Parts: sequence; structure tokens; C-alpha cells
Amino acid sequence: MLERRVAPSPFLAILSPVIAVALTILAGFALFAALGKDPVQAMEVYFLSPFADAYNRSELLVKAIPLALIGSGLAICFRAGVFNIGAPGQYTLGAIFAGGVALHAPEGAAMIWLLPACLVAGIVGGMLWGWIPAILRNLAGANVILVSLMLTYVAALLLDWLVRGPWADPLGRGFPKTATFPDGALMPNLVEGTRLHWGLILAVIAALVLAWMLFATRRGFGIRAMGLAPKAATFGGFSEAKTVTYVLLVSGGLAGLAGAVEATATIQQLQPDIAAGYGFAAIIVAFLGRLNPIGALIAALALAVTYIGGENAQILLKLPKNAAFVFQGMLLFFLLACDTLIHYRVRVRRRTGAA
Amino acid sequence: MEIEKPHSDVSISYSLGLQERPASRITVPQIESPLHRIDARLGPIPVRPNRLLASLTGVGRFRPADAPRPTSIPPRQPRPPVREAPPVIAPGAQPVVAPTPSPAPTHVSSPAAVSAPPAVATPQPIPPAPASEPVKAKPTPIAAPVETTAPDSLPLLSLVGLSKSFGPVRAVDTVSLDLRPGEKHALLGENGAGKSTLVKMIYGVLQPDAGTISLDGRPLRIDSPSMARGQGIGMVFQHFSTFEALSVAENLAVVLPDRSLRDIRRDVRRIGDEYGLGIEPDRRLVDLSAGERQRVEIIRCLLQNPRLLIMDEPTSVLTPQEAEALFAVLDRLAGEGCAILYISHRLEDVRALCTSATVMRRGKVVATCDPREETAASLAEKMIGSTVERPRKQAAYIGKPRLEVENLRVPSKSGVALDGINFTARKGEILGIAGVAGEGQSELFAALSGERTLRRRDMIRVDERPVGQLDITRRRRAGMAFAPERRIGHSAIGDMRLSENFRLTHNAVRPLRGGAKKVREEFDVRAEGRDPFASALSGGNLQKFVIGREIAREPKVLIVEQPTWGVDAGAAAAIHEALMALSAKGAAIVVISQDLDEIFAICDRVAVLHRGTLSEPKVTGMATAEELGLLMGGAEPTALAEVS
Repeated sequence: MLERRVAPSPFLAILSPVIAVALTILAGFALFAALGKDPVQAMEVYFLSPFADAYNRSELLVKAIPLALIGSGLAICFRAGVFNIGAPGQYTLGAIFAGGVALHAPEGAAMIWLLPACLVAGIVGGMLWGWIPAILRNLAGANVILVSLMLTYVAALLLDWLVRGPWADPLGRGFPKTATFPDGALMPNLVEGTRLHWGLILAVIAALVLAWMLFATRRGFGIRAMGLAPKAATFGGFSEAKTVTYVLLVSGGLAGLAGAVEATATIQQLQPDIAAGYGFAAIIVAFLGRLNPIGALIAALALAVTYIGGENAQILLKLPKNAAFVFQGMLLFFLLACDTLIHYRVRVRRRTGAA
Repeated sequence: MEIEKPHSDVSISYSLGLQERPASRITVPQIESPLHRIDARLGPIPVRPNRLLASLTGVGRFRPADAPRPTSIPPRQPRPPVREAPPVIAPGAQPVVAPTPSPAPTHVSSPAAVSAPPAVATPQPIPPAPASEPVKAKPTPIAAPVETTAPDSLPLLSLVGLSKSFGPVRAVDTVSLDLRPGEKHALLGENGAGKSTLVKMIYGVLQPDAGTISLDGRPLRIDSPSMARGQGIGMVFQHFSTFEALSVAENLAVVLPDRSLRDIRRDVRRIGDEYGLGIEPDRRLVDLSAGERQRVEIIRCLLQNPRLLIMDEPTSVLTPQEAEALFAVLDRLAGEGCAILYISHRLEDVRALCTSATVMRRGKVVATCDPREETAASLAEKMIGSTVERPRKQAAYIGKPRLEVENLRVPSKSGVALDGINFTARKGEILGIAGVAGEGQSELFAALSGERTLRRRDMIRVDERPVGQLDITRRRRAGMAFAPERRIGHSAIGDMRLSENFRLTHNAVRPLRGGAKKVREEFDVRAEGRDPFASALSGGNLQKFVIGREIAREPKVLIVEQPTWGVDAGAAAAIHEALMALSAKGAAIVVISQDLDEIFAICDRVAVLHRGTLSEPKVTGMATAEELGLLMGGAEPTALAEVS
């Protein structure tokens, strides 16, 4: 049976993700064995091939960039006890806004400003989409989880309509996509010969700034207090409504930035499936990173491994793509289970007496 | 000035110090009835600030125990033959002893009958105390003989040596208790005496650390409330857990999944008719009064055919009329053989209803008695224990008004609406605001602290500056400080370290390095580690920290709610000293408290909060507990005049 600890164990707070990863790998062994694949080979493809060569390593980082951007924003949000699960929608809006700026930039304008304008537009789009649940919650008591989730589908449909309708590529032969963005709107690569781009720097800066905000400023203190005890935070002088709005704007803005970065760097146009599940995977990133923006950076790498490993496994082992999502799901499941140990200890007790 | 004691025969008293009074040893008359087993471990009871609630005095709500009971319900008779088909008593259970005067030893063959002897009584000398005639054959002067349970019937429930600790606190300490079918047994004690913990163990919510619970003489481990219900134990909680939006029948269907809604509707009507618990099964819970909701809870228990019904502070939410009706129902149930375990600190209730009582203090059984043989005062003495003298507050220099509250009105959100509250707290003054729980204390605190801002800014003024529309941070900047009743989750965050908790109320003022450490040293806050989590502190130490944290801001006005609630005697004394020292420095302090002794000990003036209105403050030395008790019960000032 479980017994509450006197104080949360800091040791297990760090150990918990490690245990969770180990358990996920163990469960993965069983899973692959059940699928009739050699588990050792499968594990190798999943967890080692992403590090095998320079190309895989750069792809790992490319995948980690949006995960880190969204995940560190969500870390702030979850810290405040605001469960924004609408990051995919905020990401999509960011991509739409960035794409809108890129596609409608006047010809011959100063091209140097185009990419920053796209990124800022992406942030604004994401913030807007994050703001809606905040407004509805504060004015009407709406549930943030539900509203933000529902807005995800609204965003997806909006994107779908845009790329098939008004923004469709006139030369696209009816494919649902926009024209490729003009050169000035494209994110330059960081390393020649790879797809690794400057978004990496943005992600690192964002995580550092957020970590500073969360742990060194009054506002960050209020966010943490609000998440632990809303009544006490209000007593401390932090408005619940303002905090909710703030964290939704921050996480929405970062998700929007991630969308803009993906649109301008890797996809370079708009198409219906731009999200690639980043928005939901980032929830795992946030928790795996201990709701710490810096931790989210590391966790984003771990999640990126399952993406790259999953792609490789699809090619090499003919495993379904969904196996990667199973891994992600298992990881979150084990992580949340292990987190119980931070606050509780297991005590074995014999049953006595008649039942 | 002399404070008149509420009861001439109880000298309630209070000590700030911790000195042990040799005279404070209590010997409880041993009752020879085999119904009662007494815990012989009665030692000297340490002196501590007691929390005599206003309800001790009963506030004149209920008739005295020996007055004739209004008989809307026929006197308790052996069960009428009509009630054979739909059994209220568990069919699977042993046929509960019919409450006829003749004893019915139905299960003598049970081995437990031998081991649960009727003659437990280890004779003890009966001290020459008032109201302690040996209660031998339970000569009940007024009640119908059926009310007395057959003395040699087998106990339905038997607790032996039950203990439960929470961390270092022994909430329940080797408690033994027997309960017979048809017995109406009171569990008396102050807040924190361990009553709730004890019944939670009986109801399977908590597991005892030691001791046994036996039902029908069989030791039993009750793992969960559902198991308790399966054994015929029903419990009506103080706070009901019901679905507001659902109807009565639907609420009951949730807990009785194997019955159809139609059956439940029919049963509700049937039980309603039978017990006078009339309630329309299709009404929604939102539309019901507290008393009606309680009826729903009782019906829920009755639908599960209880043999033992536990009632936790049932009258605290009822009007006097509703309480009367409840007693009639409980009488009736007991007459049918259902045992009632009645938890209360309202002595008049207990005297009016119960045939036996167990008094708990600090987790231990300190007395068993027949409440009908006792006076409210003698019961109170058993509950509170020691009788020491109460020191008077030092007369302080009281100067200009610092906090002025004028016509404070706050509409009700879900709790109590504040209806035109006026008071002034002056420089150097401690103003007490007394009242029983739930009369608007938390609403008043929220309005004063700015957690809820007001419609008009001059409803509250600090040093003549209107602050009514300022939020809590700005009020702090204006020189106010606050300490709410609930520590973890309101005044402090359990999962944050003390330094961060210090910051919680200092974040907007100025960065104070090492403030937490200073408070810990100055207020002797004991905890392990350099900067522990607030949840690791004991209640007393955390409260000392919270009060110290607020005092460290050197406030002009301090609002505290229940400053020593659930706090050990040493910490309580330290907190009281600190408050008095702060007021001597010129701060105005408002103490919202349910503890009259606290108010008498530290406050200069006292006003009573009742249903969102505040009485005219009186100088503490001129007020008696009885007067305040009447005000707490909502008596008009005219009634006061009659008293004095």
C-alpha cells in the first residue's frame, strides 16, 4: 500500500523519468516479442540507430526543435495547473499565420525582414489560439482542457480549408498545399548539408528564458504557487485569472513559434498535415522534463529518438508507424505512475483479520 | 474586572503557561453498569487551552433533558407487527435484540458471549463529586423503559484498544467502547479529541494501527466504507456528498446501483411515511435545505438496513425544529434495535437524546457516563478536563482607530452573505470576533483581506485610507497583514519550502533576505533541515511560522482567523504572546475565532458574528460566555438583557 511521504523526495523526482524510460524499454521488448520481431534488433533500431550517423543525429535535433519549443511552454502552463492540451491547434495557427505572411509578402520588399515577420506572426497566431480558452475560462468558467482541445480541431479544419481553397497553390494541380514560401521567408540552415536549422538556437534561448522566468522572477513564483495551491497563491496576491491568461499566452505563443519554425524551415509551405503529432507529444516532453523548461530540452531529444527510431523501424523492420506512438504513450504512462513515488512510498503490509 | 463564568459549577479556565497544575487531576466516577467499560488509564490531564465552543452552552436551543418530549411520534414500543415484510434491519444479520424490557440473549452459544462479559467493571472508588451517584440499574426517571437497552445483551459493536496515529500525533489512543443494539450512545469531545478519527475507523475510512473492532463478538477488519455498509454500519456525515443537480432518488441510485429507480422512489416514500422523513423523491438536491439533505442521507442509510447508525455532528446544520424531528427519528430507530453512535460537542443535544456517552479528550476515553444524569456543565467539565485560572489580558494602551469597517456588505456567492458589518479596531487593541462555524467567518476574512474586493472603497478604511477596492497585495502595502484559518493550502503551500512560503506574503513588498530563517529563530519554529517543506512541519510549528511571517511585516493591522486552531498548547501560548506583543506595539488586531477561551484570554473587546451580521462589540471583561453564547445562537440583544 502507498503511504504519503513527509516531504517529496527530490531523489525520486529525478530518478522517476529514468525508471520510466527503463520500464518503457522493457515493455517494448515484450511488445516486439509479441509482434514476432527480434526484440534486441528492434531495440537497436529504435534507440541506437538515431545516433548512428551524422544525418540521423541532425534529424534527431530537427525533430527535437518543435518538441522543445512547445514542451517548454507547456511546462510553464502545467506548472500553473492549467492543462492546455490544445498545443497542436496553437501550433497550427502559428504555421497558418507565418504562412500567411510569407505567401502575401509584397514582392521586392526588404527580404531580410520577412523571416522575422513570419516568426512573429506565428507567435501571435499561437497566442491568439491560446487566449481563447483563457478568455472563456475567466469570463464563463469554461474548462480549459476541453476548449483548448476543441480548438485544435477548429485549427486543423481552418488549415485544411485554406490550403484547398483561398491559399491553394495555383500550380499545385489540385493538391492540397500552398505554393512554396519565397526564399526570404525560409529559415537558413545551421549546418550545411543537413536540415538542421536556426530553430535550434531559438529553442535553447526560449527554454533558458522560460527557466529564468519560472525560477527567478516574481511572476514565475506566482505560477508555481498557483499550480500547487490556487487559494494560497491568491492569498499571496497572484490573480488566478491573470495567471491563467499569462501561461496560456506563453505556451500558445511558443507553440505558434514552433509551427512557424516548422513551416518556414522544414516544410517550406502549408499543407494539411504539418503537425506530425508534435503538439500532443510535447505534453509528454513537458512531464518527462519535470515541468522544467530546461528539462524539456532534454526530454524533447528523448521523444525525438522515438520519432526517428520509429521511422527507421518502419523502413528496416516493416513495423507500423504507430509503434512509435505506442512508445510515446507507454512512456507517459510509466512516467506518471513513477511520479507517484515522489510523494508516496510503497509499504508492503500483510492483510490481517477476516476479510 | 472579574469575568463571570458561564456555569457556576464549571470553572473554565485557561493558562498561557505550561505549568502543570497538580490539582487538575480528574477522577471520573466509575459507572457500574456493564454497558460501560471505562479506560482505567486516567492520569493527570495536562493543562491546555481549551476550546470551549459556544455550543457547549447549548444556546438555549433545546429543551432540558428531563422535559417531556413532544410526541409527534408514538412512544417507542416494541416493533409493531406491521413492520415485518419490509425489514429495516439487515435480513442477513442476526436478528437484533428486540427492544423489549426483557433481555433476549439470543446468541449465548456464541463463544464471544463468554469473552465479552457483562461484568467488566473493575470497581473503583467513587469520589465524592456532585452528580455522581452510582448509576446502578440505570434508573431513568422519565424515559420509557424501552429506551434502556437490555443490559446483558451482547454488544453489537465492541472496540478494544483501538489506536491510530498520524505522524507523531496519537489521534486515537487505546480506545475501548461497547455498543449494544438499541443503544443511543454519544461520543463527546472537543474539536480534535479524536471522535472523527474513531468513527472513520469504524466506518472503514481509516485503518487502526492497533486494537480490534468486533461486530457481534467477531473481530473484523473493515477495509472500506462499502464493507462497513455490508456489515450494517451506516454513517451520516457532517458534510454531505451529494450531487446537487440530481434528484433525491437519483442520488440514492448512485450509491445503490443494484436497485431500480422505481424501487428507490417507492422506498423513499415508504421510509418517509414510516419515520416522518417525508421527502419527495423527485426533488432536486439543490432545492433542499440542509435538514432535508440530511434526511436524504438518513434514508440512504436506512435503505441499506443498518444495525448501527453513526451520526457525525448532525445538528450543526439544522434548525432547532429540524433537530427535534431528527431526534424523534433516531429514537424510533433505536426503539427498533438499531444502535446509534452520536458524535457531537453539543451537550444539550446529547443530554436530550442519548442514553450513554463516552467522553474523549486528546484521543483517549476519559469518561463514560449517562448523559441524562449529568448537567451540561458536568459534561463540559469532563470534555475539557482541567480547571485552572484564566489570566486576564493586560490592559493595553488603546488609541486612535486603525481599522474601520463600515456597513460592510458582501452578497453571497455560495456561503453566507455579509449583511452590514460595522466595527472599529483601534491602535493597540485586539478585537475578537466570536461565533460558531459557518456564520460568515471565511467570508468576512476574504472581504477584509481583499481576496474578495468590495463594491465600495470606504467599506474598509485603514488609518482613514479607504482600501475596500484594493486587492490583497495593495492592502498589504497599506500596512495590513493576514493569517487565514487553513494553513496548508491557504496561508502556506505544503509543497514549497519555508523560504518560498515566506515569500508568499512578502513577494510584493521588498525582498527580505533570510526572512524565513529569522522567523524560525524568533518564533522557535521547530523543523528538521535548513529549509524544509511546509508540509513537514507540525501544525503548531507551521502556525508559529505563519504568524511570525505576518508579524515580520510589522503590520498596522493584522487579521487572523483561528490562530490556534489544532495547535498544541505550547505553540498556542507562543502565538498568543506574539499577538499581544504586536498589539502593544500599536497594531490593531482582529482575531476571528470560535474558541471563546482564546477570545477571553487575549481580546480587549469581543463581538459575535451570526449569520453574516456582527453584534455590537463589548469589552471582554464585561462579557460573560453565556451572553456571547446567546448572541452566537442568534438571540436578540433584548434576550441579553434578561440574562444580565
